[in-house]
Amino acid sequence: MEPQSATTTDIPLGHGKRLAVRISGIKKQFGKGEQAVEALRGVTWDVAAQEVAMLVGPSGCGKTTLISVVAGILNADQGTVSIFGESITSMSDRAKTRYRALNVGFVFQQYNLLPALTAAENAAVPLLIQGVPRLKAVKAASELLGQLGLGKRTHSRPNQLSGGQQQRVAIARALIHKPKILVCDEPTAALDHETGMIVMKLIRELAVSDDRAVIVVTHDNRIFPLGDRVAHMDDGHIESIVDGSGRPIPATIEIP
Amino acid sequence: MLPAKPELFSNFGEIVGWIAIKMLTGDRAKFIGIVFGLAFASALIMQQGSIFWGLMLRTCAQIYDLRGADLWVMDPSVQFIDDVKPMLEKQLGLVRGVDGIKWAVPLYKGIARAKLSFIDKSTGKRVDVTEQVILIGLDDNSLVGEPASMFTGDIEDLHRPNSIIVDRVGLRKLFPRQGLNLIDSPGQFKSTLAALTRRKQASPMSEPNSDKDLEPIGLGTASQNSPVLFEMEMNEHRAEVVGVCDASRTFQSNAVIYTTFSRAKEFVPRERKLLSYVLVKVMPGQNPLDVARRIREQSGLSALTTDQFVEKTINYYLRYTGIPINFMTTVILGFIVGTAIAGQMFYSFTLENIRQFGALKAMGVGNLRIVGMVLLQAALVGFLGYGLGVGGATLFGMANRGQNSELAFYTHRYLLLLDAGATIIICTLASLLSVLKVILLEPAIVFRG
Ligand SMILES: Nc1ncnc2c1ncn2[C@@H]1O[C@H](COP(=O)(O)OP(=O)(O)OP(=O)(O)O)[C@@H](O)[C@H]1O
Ligand SMILES: [Mg+2]
Repeated sequence: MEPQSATTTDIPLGHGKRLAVRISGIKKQFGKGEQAVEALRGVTWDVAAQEVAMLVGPSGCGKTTLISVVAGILNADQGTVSIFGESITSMSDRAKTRYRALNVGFVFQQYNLLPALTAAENAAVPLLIQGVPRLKAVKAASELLGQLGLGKRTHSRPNQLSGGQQQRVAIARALIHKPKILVCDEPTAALDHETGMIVMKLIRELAVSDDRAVIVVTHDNRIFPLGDRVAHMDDGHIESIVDGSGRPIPATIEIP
Repeated sequence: MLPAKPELFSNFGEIVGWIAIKMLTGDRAKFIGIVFGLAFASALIMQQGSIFWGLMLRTCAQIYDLRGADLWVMDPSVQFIDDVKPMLEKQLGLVRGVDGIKWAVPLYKGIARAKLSFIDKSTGKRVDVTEQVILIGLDDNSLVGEPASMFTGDIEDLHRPNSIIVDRVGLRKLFPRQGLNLIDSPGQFKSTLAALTRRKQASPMSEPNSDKDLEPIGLGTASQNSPVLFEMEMNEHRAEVVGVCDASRTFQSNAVIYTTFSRAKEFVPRERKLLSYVLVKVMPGQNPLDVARRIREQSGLSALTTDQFVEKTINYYLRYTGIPINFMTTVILGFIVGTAIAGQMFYSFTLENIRQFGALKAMGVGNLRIVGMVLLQAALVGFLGYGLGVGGATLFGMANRGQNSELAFYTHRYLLLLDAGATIIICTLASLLSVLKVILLEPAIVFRG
């Protein structure tokens, strides 16, 4: 299947899912002249709400670069990204910063928690950034940690938690402010398989919602079945898109 | 619970303040290191500055100590208080003839050699020791220029023959083995003096003293009214200590000996010119500056108010001695070392936390707030370092302070400001690299391994 040619077609969402993220023609080059690396060579891809979209592919194919553009922390050279109809590629840097604070959740491979803060305080950071008073924010974060099975560890610092626990704190932090888009880069890569499955299942359970897009970058083919839509990337392109059972589906979604 | 309303971005302080401080203090070792680096620089600047200022004040103390006069009249080539250029005594008459003068009195100020005699208790032989002293001769009648405070004895005793008054530190310097402990309270000091008196009155002076090597010969001459009992010789004239005063410490830290003008002339070798200064009081209602101008015009001498003379003296030291340069060098070194240490440590602190800054940036903390965090961290360590440094330097100064101390230490309030300014500059320089680093930081680094 040629994803580049598949514009809008026959296989729509089927289950009445909304279009969440529309990525079209994104190009990104790093460096100049002979050193130049074309990380993204025109990526077009639609992500629906209420499902987990996975981005897989060999190392260096551009996955991280793509989600950085989608999350608004990296400027693309060409193309557009819109999230629930709002074009983020046309925003100023300031507007993007504000957009991220309100609408984007991040989960990183290396957790990136603040070591000086407790689990609950870490999870509360996005609310603090938005201006929620500290006590209120930490209380909300503690409740969410409870849902993630960390009710007893809210006062622990990151270095007192296992990798899986830290990643669960990171998930709480990514969801506490109810973002419109959650981007996860290799969330299970630093975890053993079992813990990774637990983390992925928690993401599915807690993050999937009809007003949110969830994009998970992964190498880990054992978790592919937990994706509703798996995009295979290679050399700056989306090569193919399959559903959770491996059936090809088009790169774009028809808007009803 | 969803508070994601844009107008709620108002609490700048929550994220900037609270998280920044948590981050900073979370790394205890580094935090303490930076604070101590800054405290060191701040203390060094403070301490050196205070000592320098203290020395300057000490130099000028002799001017301030002489109260009661409005003007100092001197040879026009005098540059500072110790730069005595003696005048002929007939100049006193010239000054007295100037309009608007209530009184004009002579002052001798110079160096004399005091010969002190002791009995060596082990050999029983007489030992002579010569010490340089600062000799001040006050007008015989009025005693204008008397020490600001008498420790024991009465200034009027200077009217008695052979009498002199020595400052307390000087007395200990001249008679080091008499157990006159300067850390003692005035009461203790006085009772030591009294005990010495009693012992000498009870027994002949040659009696061996078990705990002292050298016994001053003059002990035992004290009268009822003045308990002081030391004597010496200057220019082959006997001088008896009849009182102890508290003189401000001088730059040279020699003993200061007060006596009358005419006796002072006997205590030094005969010279044609022995008038060091003329002290002048102007008539009520007269402007001292006008009188000073008239003195200059009529006598050709220089006439300065106390403040002018202090200024002249300080200017001289600033301009013509290496002392300020030495102190400045230390201060500048402290500044540079402080900047280097604190800057290095602060920058490495920022680098260590760069991923945290990156994550915060990705999560929507803008450059303004990120820079605010770094500056707040710098300000906090600066504030603590300054406080500790100033506190430390002050404690050092207090521990070594007092009239009696050899250490000149005076913390002028401008010095506090100067030190604060220096600390602010150090912190600004130290955080500059860090600020640049976080401004240029790409939030996309958070996805990199
Ligand atoms: N900041 C950068 N400067 C220069 N080149 C970069 C930069 N970021 C990425 N690249 C290059 O762009 C290409 C895509 O990188 P990217 O990190 O997106 O790959 P990836 O698919 O996430 O790989 P991995 O699975 O190893 O994480 C790579 O060739 C990489 O070297
Ligand atoms: Mg990657």
